[in-house]
Parts: sequence; C-alpha cells; structure tokens
Amino acid sequence: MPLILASGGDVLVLLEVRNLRVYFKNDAGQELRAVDGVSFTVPHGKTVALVGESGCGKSVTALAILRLVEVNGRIAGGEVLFEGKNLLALPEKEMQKVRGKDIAIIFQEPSAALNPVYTIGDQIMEAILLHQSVSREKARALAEEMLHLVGIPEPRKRLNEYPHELSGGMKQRAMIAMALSCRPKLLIADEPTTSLDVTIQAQILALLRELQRQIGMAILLITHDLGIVADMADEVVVMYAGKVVERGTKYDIFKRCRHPYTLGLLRSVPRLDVDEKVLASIPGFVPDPLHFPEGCRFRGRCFLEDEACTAEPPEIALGNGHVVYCHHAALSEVCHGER
Amino acid sequence: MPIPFPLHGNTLLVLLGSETFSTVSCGGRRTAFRIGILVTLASTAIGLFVGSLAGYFGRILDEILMRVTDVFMAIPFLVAAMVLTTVLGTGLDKVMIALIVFSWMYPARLIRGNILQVKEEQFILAAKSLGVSDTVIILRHVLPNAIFPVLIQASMRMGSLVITAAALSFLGLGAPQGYADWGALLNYARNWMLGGYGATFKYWYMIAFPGGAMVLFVLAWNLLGDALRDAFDPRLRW
Repeated sequence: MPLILASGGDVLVLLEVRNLRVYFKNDAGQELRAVDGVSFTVPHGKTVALVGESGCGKSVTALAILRLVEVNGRIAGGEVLFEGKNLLALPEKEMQKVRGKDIAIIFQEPSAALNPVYTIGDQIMEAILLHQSVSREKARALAEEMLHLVGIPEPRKRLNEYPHELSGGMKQRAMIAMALSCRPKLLIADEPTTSLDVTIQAQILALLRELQRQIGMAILLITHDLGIVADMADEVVVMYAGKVVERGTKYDIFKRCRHPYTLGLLRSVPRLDVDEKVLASIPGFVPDPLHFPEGCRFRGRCFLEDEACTAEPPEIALGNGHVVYCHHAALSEVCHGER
Repeated sequence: MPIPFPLHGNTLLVLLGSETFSTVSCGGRRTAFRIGILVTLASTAIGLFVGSLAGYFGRILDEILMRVTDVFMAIPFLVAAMVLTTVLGTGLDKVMIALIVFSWMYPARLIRGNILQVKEEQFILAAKSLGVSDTVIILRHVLPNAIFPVLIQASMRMGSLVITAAALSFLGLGAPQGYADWGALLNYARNWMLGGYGATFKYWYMIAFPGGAMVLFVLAWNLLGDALRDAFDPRLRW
C-alpha cells in the first residue's frame, strides 16, 4: 500500500518534524550543528527507521522530539508537530504530560536506563501513577499485566526484583513495559537492541512488532543496522552529518536508492551471496561537525562529486514520498547496475 | 572553683562510684550526643539543600552557591567558630550555632559532586522521558543514588564535631564551668593535671576519664561510618 509522506494536514500523519535544528556549544564556545534542518514524518501505526552512522545526529533528533536535549545544546529552530500541535512551543508542564503518555522512548543500554535503587515494579508503577488516575493497587496490577505482556515469566515475583537481578534481555523487556505502560501513540526506540546478543535481539524485535500490532502505536526506530531496518521498517530516513540525505519507503531505499551515501551504506553490508575478499566501504571519514563542508556535506567522500556540489543540494521528489537531496540524483540511478 | 574529690584506693567499685566518672559517662555523653546529633542533622540538612540545588540545576545557581561555600570554607574553622561564639555569647547553644554555620559546606560539596555524577546517568533521562517533574526527579531518583556517601560522612563528622565542641568548651567558649561537658571537664582538669608538689598525677583521672570517653565516642562513630560504608557502597552491592 502506498504511503503518504510529508503532507501537513494529512490525517495519516502522527508526527511531523519540520526543519529541526539542534546546535551544541563546545567548551571553546564554537557552535556545532548536530542536527541541521531535518524533516520527516511518522504516520499513525507505522514504523519509520532513522538510519545513519554514529554521530550523524539520529539520537539527538530523537531527544529533541521529546525536548530532552542536554544542557549545552539547544533547539535552534524548526517545528515538531505531534497530532498537529507544535511540541517545541508547549510550556514545560504540558510537555511533561506528553512525555511517557503520548510519546515514550526506550534506550540502547537497558542496565543504565533503570534506576538501581528501585524495584522493577516501583519503576513501572511510577509511570502509571503519573499519567493515569488509578490507585496504587490498580497500578500494581497494571504493572504486572505489562510485565506479562512483554513476556517476562513470573511477573508477580519480578515486580519485587531490582534491576541487577535481571538479565540484559529481561531488563530491556522491563524497559519496554515501562515505556508502553501508558499506551503511547509513538514509541521512539533508540538502538533498542545494540547492547543485546543476536538471539535476544530477534526476540525483542519480534516483541516490538507484536506490541505495535496490539497497541497500534507508531515506532520511530533509530539504528545503524540495515538488517533491522529491512526487518522492521515501513519507511526509512537516511541521515548524514546532521542532515537528511534521502527518505522513502523501505522498498524505495533498498531497491531504488538515489543518494550516493545511501548506496554506499547498502554496499557496505556484508553479503552471503557474493564472494567478496574485501568488504566495500565508503572512503574517508565522517567530517568533524565544526568543519562540515559547504554545500553538500557528503562532498569529499562521494564518487559523483563535481563543482556543482559546493552549492546546497536540491530537494528532488521522485514520487510516492521518495525524496533525495543530491545534485546528481539522476546520475546515481545509473550506478545501481554495479550493485 | 571546687577541689576535685580525690580517688581513694583503686578498686573498680570506687572508680565507678566516683563523681568524675559518672559526670563523664552520663552527663558528658549526653551533651556530646546532643551537640553531635543536632549539629550533624542541621548542617547535613542545609548542605543537602544547597548542594542539591547547585548540582542539579547547575549553571549560574551552581556558580553562586559554590562560591558562597568557598567563602565559608576559606575561613579557618576553629577561629571562625570562636569569633562567632564570642559575638553570640558563650553557651552550648551558641557553640552549636557556630558549628552549624561553619560545617554545612562539607556535605554540600559532597552531595553536589555526587549529583553531578548521578544526573548524567541514563536512568535520569529515562525518568524525564516518562514525564517525571524536576522536583520528583531530585527527590526520588537523584538523591537516593547520591546520598549514601553523605550519610557515611555525617556519621564520621559526628565524632569530629564533638571534639571541636569540646575544644571550644576547653577554651572557655562553650558550656559554663560545672556543666557536665567533656570539654568543660578538661578545662577544669587543666589546673589539676600535674597534681602539685608531692602529689604527682594524684588527680590523673580528671583528664583520663573525659579524654578516654571522647576517644571512645569518636571511635564509635567512625566504626559506625565504616559499617555504613560497607552496607551502602553501591560498588560492593552491585
């Protein structure tokens, strides 16, 4: 089914990020443009993957949606429209009601994201008591139900256990239970399986898919693992050096990508069906945020680079929501033959 | 000034029955406890308040509060306490006020450091992302993870505060003469320490009992502090 992207008034759109900018100040007082004009949409009940290398601004984008950027950073501009209202303009008190209730987040490292001095039950109950007017007994029952829902055996017993008594996979399940306890409309999953081993990773992803079906929430999945993207996502947003370089449906990105960076990413995934001696990689390094090149930020690493690239890349819509930011989008299509 | 009642014989019974011993063990301890507990409680409470605000909110508030703390720390403790007691007048309550005014900085600094560390932890971000307010985050998530070193330090400080209070009393700034306080007793004993001609160390117990009691008191609090550390230290627990 074709999806409708980037249309402001569309009923399908749950979250729309428009031209979001997050700048950080370093100790020398210089400004780092970690996220510089990012736009994308998350439709109701769908999974959107935010893909890119470490340091490209994916996590910062996620935190900025919840307005939880660290003290030395600031949201310098843009809009985050959630169900049509701009979260960046809400008073802090209102924002606290959105966090946890409408939008929840789970983090990469479940052992760090649980408070070591409280039991699992206490922590899940805290979220429930905060957003729902229920008694402590009812909250406890709901917490137990959530633990059951995320597939933790003996939930009643686990409620009274401390985080250090649970394994990594169990902790991530508990985190998910905590995040979903108020049935949010959007779950931001910031590399939810990076710290887990592959079998547990598959279980957690299957669990997320199952819960998405049951609760009907949308997921904004942040990852650098293209395997997970292929497995989970409906739509993909590719980020590089603080900017979106390409976005589209999963099919468009994997089969018909037009940005040289996306192409490079896809090529550097090891394949079983091709006998490769050396794994393909993108030449060069991610530029230092203080010295991003003028114009296209992928300049210097791109095989299609020429003089035109010193100018800001144009937005080229290819239909069906597939958008690419490149001067040579027409040329890069030819290169697919190599893949 | 009364002449100390000499100790006759050396049986334990006489020793236990002596006035000095009971004054030291009952009255002196009660005073020490009162000073130690009240001063520690008050200074830790003030320190926790100032330190938590500075540590959690950071920036300009941190800068202001910590510079004030620095000013208080820059003044030599005993001298400052003496000056303040002189200004306020002598008496145990004045000594306590002086001690509180010049000892809240230590818990404040300690809690600030711990909070700076804890607030970077991801579970604080996770709590924020669930919509928990700042006040609740400080009270429920930050403090319980940062407070144990402060409690341990408080129990250790309990002992040293009592010594300082005794020092002030010894200098004549604290408890009045005749009050059952270790420092005041030592001050009184000063005149009888050597015992005079032909009676060397006749009144040895005048200094040995209050001194010994103080050593034991401080030792006890230090041992308690150690025990608390063993019980609470997160590195030993997790």
